[in-house]
Amino acid sequence: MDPAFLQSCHLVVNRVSKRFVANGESLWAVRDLTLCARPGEFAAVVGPSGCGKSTLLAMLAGFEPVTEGSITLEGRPVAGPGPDRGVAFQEDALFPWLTVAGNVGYGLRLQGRSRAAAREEALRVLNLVGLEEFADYYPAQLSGGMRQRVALARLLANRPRALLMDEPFGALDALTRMEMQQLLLEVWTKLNVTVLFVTHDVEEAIFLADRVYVLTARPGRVLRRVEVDLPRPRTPDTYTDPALTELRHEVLALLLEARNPSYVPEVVYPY
Amino acid sequence: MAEPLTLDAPAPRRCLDWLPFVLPGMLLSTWLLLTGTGHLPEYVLPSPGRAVLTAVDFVWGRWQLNAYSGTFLGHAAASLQRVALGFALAAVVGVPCGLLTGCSQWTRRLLDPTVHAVRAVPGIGWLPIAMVWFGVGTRTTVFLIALAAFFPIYVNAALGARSVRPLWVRAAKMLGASRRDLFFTVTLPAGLTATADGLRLGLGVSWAYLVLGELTGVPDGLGAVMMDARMNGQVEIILVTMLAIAVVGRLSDLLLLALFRRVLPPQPR
Ligand SMILES: Nc1ncnc2c1ncn2[C@@H]1O[C@H](COP(=O)(O)OP(=O)(O)OP(=O)(O)O)[C@@H](O)[C@H]1O
Ligand SMILES: [Mg+2]
Repeated sequence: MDPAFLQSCHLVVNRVSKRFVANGESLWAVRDLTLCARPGEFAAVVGPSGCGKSTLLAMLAGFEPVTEGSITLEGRPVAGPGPDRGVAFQEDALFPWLTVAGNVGYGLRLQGRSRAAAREEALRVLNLVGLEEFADYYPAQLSGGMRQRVALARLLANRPRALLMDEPFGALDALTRMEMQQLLLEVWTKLNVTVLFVTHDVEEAIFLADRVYVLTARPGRVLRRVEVDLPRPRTPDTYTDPALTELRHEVLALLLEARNPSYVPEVVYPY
Repeated sequence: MAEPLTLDAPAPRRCLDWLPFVLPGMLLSTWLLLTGTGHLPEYVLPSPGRAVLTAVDFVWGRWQLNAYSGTFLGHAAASLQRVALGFALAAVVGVPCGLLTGCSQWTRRLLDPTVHAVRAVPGIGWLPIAMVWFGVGTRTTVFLIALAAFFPIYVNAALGARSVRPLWVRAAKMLGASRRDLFFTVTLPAGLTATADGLRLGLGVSWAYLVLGELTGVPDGLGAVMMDARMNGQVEIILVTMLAIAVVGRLSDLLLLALFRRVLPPQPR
């Protein structure tokens, strides 16, 4: 990789491989995967099911060690989970025993802030996602879409350097999903945080991201980096932009190709 | 023609359900019949009226019917103190051990096999050795209570800690939780419901072992009164103390429940 480019990067996944040993068999989930994101960039990752997207995110989050290669955030190697990287899970991961404000303020309390200070900050962040009046509700009393907003607010309260999102809107209905995409973009613009967004929805990836990494089937590695030069801010009109449709066809064709087991990709290093 | 469907269900009739009272009514009349017709002598089963009089006298001591007149409060206080002490010991050891066992492999491997091996000895089986070690009296009773109440508390706390979803652990770590934080902010609250169930079971067991401990010859306490009354042939007192233990035990259970309701979050899971 070009060292000058690496310098400009914020989040670097450098030739990472991951091997799982299960039932006495070893399996490469990710092989020689390289990608990176510049500060404040919105990068999306799409790939066929089972190609190692969640595994990649788990390694970035620090939940799983890498087998080979290295992952760095702002030049420091990632070793274990930490509040500098906020992770949005596909499933609901709110703490059911805490209120909305309690969930959002959780990370701040861990940092030693007083209950009152944590609550004040939580309310400020909740305002950002439009849920201020639900501060004293419990997660079980919210809809799925609202819970995802709370989950997002909980990440933002920690002021992470990077957001790692694993199909966070996968379980939502189409309309709520579009609302959440808009909200995420708003928040991202305001806070200028680096986002790595994993999804299997090609349209979602293109709509949100500055660039899309298309992965091969397992073992996952980068098949193509697709630049998305749709204008910002992206609005509901962007969904019907012919440029988006064109990109969508391009990526879908790539994915179909990548799914074919006899297809041997000519893997490109993106940089 | 079929009747049109209405969405309003007919309002439920407000009246007392009489079915649950049938069996107690039958038992009471049998009791009255047996004692009233002289089929059973008073020294086997006293009449219901006499039992009620004895109970009132046991509590207030107005009529001085027997040697136990008006002594209820003193005995109940002695028993309550033993239960409280034994139960508190069991809870203080059982809750942390159980929670740690449920959330750490290391603690589980260290504790679980031994605990379950000890549990294989029935609680009553500890009575003779406890009498050797602690003598006859309060200390034996408290020991038996603490030992017996420990197991349900430990097992349920472990169950609660094991019910923590791995996703919560990941979320907490991602938000900056250390191992210590994880225990206090995830394992503890997530395991609280199951732990509370364990504590209730433990309190029930405490009352059972209180009676066992007090039967062995302590001077005071409800169990002691029972045994004493048997020696003196005062059957009505035996019955009344049985009832007293049931009432006090149930009250303590309600108290614990009220406490949980204050501590546990009201979240609908
Ligand atoms: N803990 C594990 N032990 C063994 N194998 C695993 C483990 N986790 C994942 N794998 C394997 O790694 C491969 C990639 O899994 P991963 O969950 O990363 O896929 P994915 O790209 O996220 O798929 P999807 O889009 O369906 O969510 C799968 O073949 C899976 O069986
Ligand atoms: Mg996945």
